[in-house]
Amino acid sequence: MTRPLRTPIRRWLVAIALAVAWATPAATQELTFGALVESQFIAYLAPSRRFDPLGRAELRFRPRLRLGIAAWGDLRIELDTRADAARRDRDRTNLREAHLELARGSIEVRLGRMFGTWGRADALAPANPWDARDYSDPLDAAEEPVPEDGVQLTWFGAAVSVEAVVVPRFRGSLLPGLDSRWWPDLPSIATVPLDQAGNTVVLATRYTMGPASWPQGGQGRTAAGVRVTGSSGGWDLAVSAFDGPIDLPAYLPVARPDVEREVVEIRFDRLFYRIRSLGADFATVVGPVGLHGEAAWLVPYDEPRLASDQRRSWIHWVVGGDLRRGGIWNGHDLFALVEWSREMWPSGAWEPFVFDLTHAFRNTLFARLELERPGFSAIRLEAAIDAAGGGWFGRIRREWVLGSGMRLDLAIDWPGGATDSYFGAFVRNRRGHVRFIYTL
Amino acid sequence: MTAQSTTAGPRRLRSPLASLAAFVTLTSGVPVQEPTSGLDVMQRYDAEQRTADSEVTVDLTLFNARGDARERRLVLRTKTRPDGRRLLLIQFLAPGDVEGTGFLQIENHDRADDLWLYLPALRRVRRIAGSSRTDRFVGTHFTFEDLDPEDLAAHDYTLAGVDTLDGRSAWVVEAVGANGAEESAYSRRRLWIDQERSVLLRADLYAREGGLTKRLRAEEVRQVAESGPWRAHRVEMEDLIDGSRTVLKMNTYTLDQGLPDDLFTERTLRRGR
Repeated sequence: MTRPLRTPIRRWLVAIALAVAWATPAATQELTFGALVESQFIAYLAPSRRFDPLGRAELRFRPRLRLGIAAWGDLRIELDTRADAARRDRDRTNLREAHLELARGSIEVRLGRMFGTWGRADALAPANPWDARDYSDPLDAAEEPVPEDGVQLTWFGAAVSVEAVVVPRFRGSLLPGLDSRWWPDLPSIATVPLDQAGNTVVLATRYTMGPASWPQGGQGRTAAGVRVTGSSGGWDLAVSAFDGPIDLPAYLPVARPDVEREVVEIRFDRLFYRIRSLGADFATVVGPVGLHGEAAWLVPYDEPRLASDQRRSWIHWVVGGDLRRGGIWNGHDLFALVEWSREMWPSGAWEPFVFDLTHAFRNTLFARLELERPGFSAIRLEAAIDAAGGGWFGRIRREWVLGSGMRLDLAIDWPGGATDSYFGAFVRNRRGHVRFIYTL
Repeated sequence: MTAQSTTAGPRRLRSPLASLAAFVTLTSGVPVQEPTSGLDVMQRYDAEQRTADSEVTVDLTLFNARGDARERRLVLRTKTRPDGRRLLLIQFLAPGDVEGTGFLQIENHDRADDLWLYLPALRRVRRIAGSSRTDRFVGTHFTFEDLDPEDLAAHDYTLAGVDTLDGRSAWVVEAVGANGAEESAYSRRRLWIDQERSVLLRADLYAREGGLTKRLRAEEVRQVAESGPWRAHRVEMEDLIDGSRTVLKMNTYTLDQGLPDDLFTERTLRRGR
């Protein structure tokens, strides 16, 4: 069942509507509407061991509105409605975007629900702490950013710009549930210590998911960040600082053995802990190749519930290059991209839980190759090679533009590799899908 | 305000995409004395094509070899700074799947141009490398070279005669690359320049292998304002090999309105308008 609009959303709508009504004489308004309709059918090549069916049908509707207010204001509202016939827990009705942007000279203020887009890399953006996503289907997560509600203030100087963001209640990423295809297979039995003499007992496992847990006290879910960007001599550079909850939680297993019932209940608590991070990113061009990269030093703090290893600070960087060539073959354009993601712990390496998405791509190569005939068709290849875990992922997508704003996609997703790697654990989720998109 | 002609003379743009700025001003002119050579025709044509800034809304239609059409609308803004550096901003307005996509280029004299691409799906501005002159522009049949302003110093021009196109008398000029010319997809070009208005009416483009490969037709030549410069409001580029083509229809022209420098920034790219 589709969820009704939630109270905070209504609050935003009312607040923004009042602000606009107050601020704009009717004569200066320019109103435009648009919408996206998308239907997608996914067929998995193997049945799930859980409740997910072999196929999935999804319908999405995204109406959007934009109100231009003279030269100084801009209101954007986009609603996102998703209905998943097979996984009703993926149904959504959300305000995807709802913000008012006011510009005066070199100052710009954005208020409301918006996306954070720090950083330069495509596959992963360690310097973008606002990069929360809907991972209920991780292979679609790139197209499913989660917006935040807050205030963004930007000053545009001649050589640099400074952006400050405050989010009172950080939303974070959405993650697959225990009954999802995208939750890994865990042991069905566990050896549990029985007494201090070293005796053990083997019990059946029963897993449950605890509620998401946010930082207690202090600044709680509040997040704030500042970013300074500039361009000079063919380089785009930025540095940033952030203080707030991490967008992906740590999983904390809490075991409760019940010897009489011969079962151990293992509850996974999802803990969104606070971090401080310093980030930097760059982009430049060398000959025909665009180079970019970003890095962040991330420091968890003020969270005693984390295990000691999880409390360590780490550095995550991504470097990449891209190449574009137009009209290379029969009017096709070529786009090639390679990015390398690497994580390091200055206090010594450790092995995070393989399904901890925060560290899932700690030594991973991403590649993309696209051949597109703009306006008509495209073929896109994607690959990821997880050198740390031994997993890999491949995708081939064929797209046809059927008419103005109408597109048909066919794609195959193919995870593989070591069974204890992130991708290799999901070989049963190899799938094909067809998607129809109409944008007006 | 009407367009101001310049006397800049032959000048090369350093990057192909920057030259797109000149495309919208390819066709303009004033009555002049009888030219004495092909170069004379082209100098008059070139002298009349530049403006301080321009803003043009373009309906772009791509036709493949089967005649299937795909339409896009974009707004193209250009400006030439006092130091001669060109600024270019292109933003797609429709259809919805490309709406907000934008290019920004800042020409540099001492190094490669700065070029950024904004893709609304990613909500991210990406610095990109400049394209080759022989690359197609956003999937059209126009290469960046086609959109370049005429580089008079890099070509040899021969006055080949006089012809009539749609009732208009035109000088026919043969253009071939001179020594030191930049890379080109063409061995030669045959250009039809309106005698009265110095407007480009047609161009036959010959591949490096020698055969006629593409044809440009410029039509609906009108003055931008009551006494403004002449501009073609419909331009078609046809691939003569497979019959596919691109049609550009210029809906609105605004010239020399004093576009500010800070319009040509990442900030405008992100705003999408």
